Amino acid sequence: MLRILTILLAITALGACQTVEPYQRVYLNDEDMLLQQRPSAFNEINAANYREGAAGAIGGKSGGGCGCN
Amino acid sequence: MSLVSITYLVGQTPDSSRVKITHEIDVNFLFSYYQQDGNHSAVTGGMGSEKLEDLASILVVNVPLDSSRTLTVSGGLTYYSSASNDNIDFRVSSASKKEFRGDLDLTLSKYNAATGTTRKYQFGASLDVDYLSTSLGYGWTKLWPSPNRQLSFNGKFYFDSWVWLIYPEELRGTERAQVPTNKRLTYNLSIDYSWTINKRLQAAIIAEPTYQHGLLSTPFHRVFLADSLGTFLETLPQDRFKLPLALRLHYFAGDFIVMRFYYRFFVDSWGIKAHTVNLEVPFKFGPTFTVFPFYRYHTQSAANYFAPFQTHRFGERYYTSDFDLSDLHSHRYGLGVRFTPLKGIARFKWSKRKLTEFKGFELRYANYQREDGLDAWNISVNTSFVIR
Repeated sequence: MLRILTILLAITALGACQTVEPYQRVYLNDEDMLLQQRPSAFNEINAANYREGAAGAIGGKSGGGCGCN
Repeated sequence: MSLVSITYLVGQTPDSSRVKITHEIDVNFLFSYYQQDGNHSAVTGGMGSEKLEDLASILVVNVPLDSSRTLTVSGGLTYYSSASNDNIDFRVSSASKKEFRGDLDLTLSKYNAATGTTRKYQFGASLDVDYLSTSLGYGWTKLWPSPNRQLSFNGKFYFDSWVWLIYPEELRGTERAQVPTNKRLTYNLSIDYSWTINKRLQAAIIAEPTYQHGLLSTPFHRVFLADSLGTFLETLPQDRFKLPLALRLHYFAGDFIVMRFYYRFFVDSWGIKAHTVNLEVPFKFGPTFTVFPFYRYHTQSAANYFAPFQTHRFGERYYTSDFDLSDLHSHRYGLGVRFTPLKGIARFKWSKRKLTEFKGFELRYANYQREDGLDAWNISVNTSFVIR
């Protein structure tokens, strides 16, 4: 899996830094292209943080609260 | 057409600068219902009902204070009913224990147009019946317009404490009912770098190192040993370092389909290594209606201190039978729909000068299955309004 991550990073790095003019950003400015989790997924992320040992780097809370229920 | 739509069409990124143009107050209301059931409750030593219901409502309001500053106020109230927490005390039994949790979060953002930077100052607090958490945060974001890149640093410090230490009923007043502290400190740093690869593809890499110190076990979690020496308290190290690293790739394929890919690698000082993959594919039916199925897979190795019911041996330094820290695989899948009319509907006036407009809603259902038999489902509705 780490190998996959390395490959993906390499691919994205190779294609980086292309200038996109404002009039070309019709796709990039779409709401579904925002590089963040959807607000409606907030509680799912919280539940996964509690029900699994891994958390963070996805948005939402990464600390605070006892997570004891 | 609203000013919000115009800013999107001319190609500005949807950052806080949009607010200063429109002076609109954004209001988001999220309502969520979560239910789970399983048979590995940590309260009863890794064996017993995990039935839980959780009703959460969160209100987020973005108020532009002037041309550069925005105040975000987020308040939440959660009601939950937990069968396993009811088993802290066997003698006073009920169907399930019902509790409330409230939280409040304030964030002040200041945008500097000359440098393209945004600074954020945050304060938050949450209160459970027996647990108080407060947080302070500072964030810095810089946006480079050409080529499009953004770098963010967000640091957060949590100061948590157990208001009351509640032990399992049979241990109260005994020497086994002892924990070294009632405090928990969390130092969290999130580093997020995102960039545009071409006119249909953008990516982000995220690292979020976190260090925790203090009481990291839960004082009412039981452990039953193989040696049958009665009940013991869950005991865990007082330090934990966590390092999640994530990659997010969003690709607009054709004119109607978006691919939202997310991968996370996680490692911590307790011996957990985890991989999480999430794929979401929004299908667009016209400019206002979107349907998005999604699937998430998670796998992790167990923490070094985990063992199931009646497996730990007397004399071990740390014990836990909390299956959240076990070796596990999980699947989550579901479907969401979003409706965002180009021009808001359901306008109404609640004062002479303020007009409120319904911006859209998002409805989402998810099913979660964990390998050890824990099943859960969640339904959420997020509605957005704008006040101008």
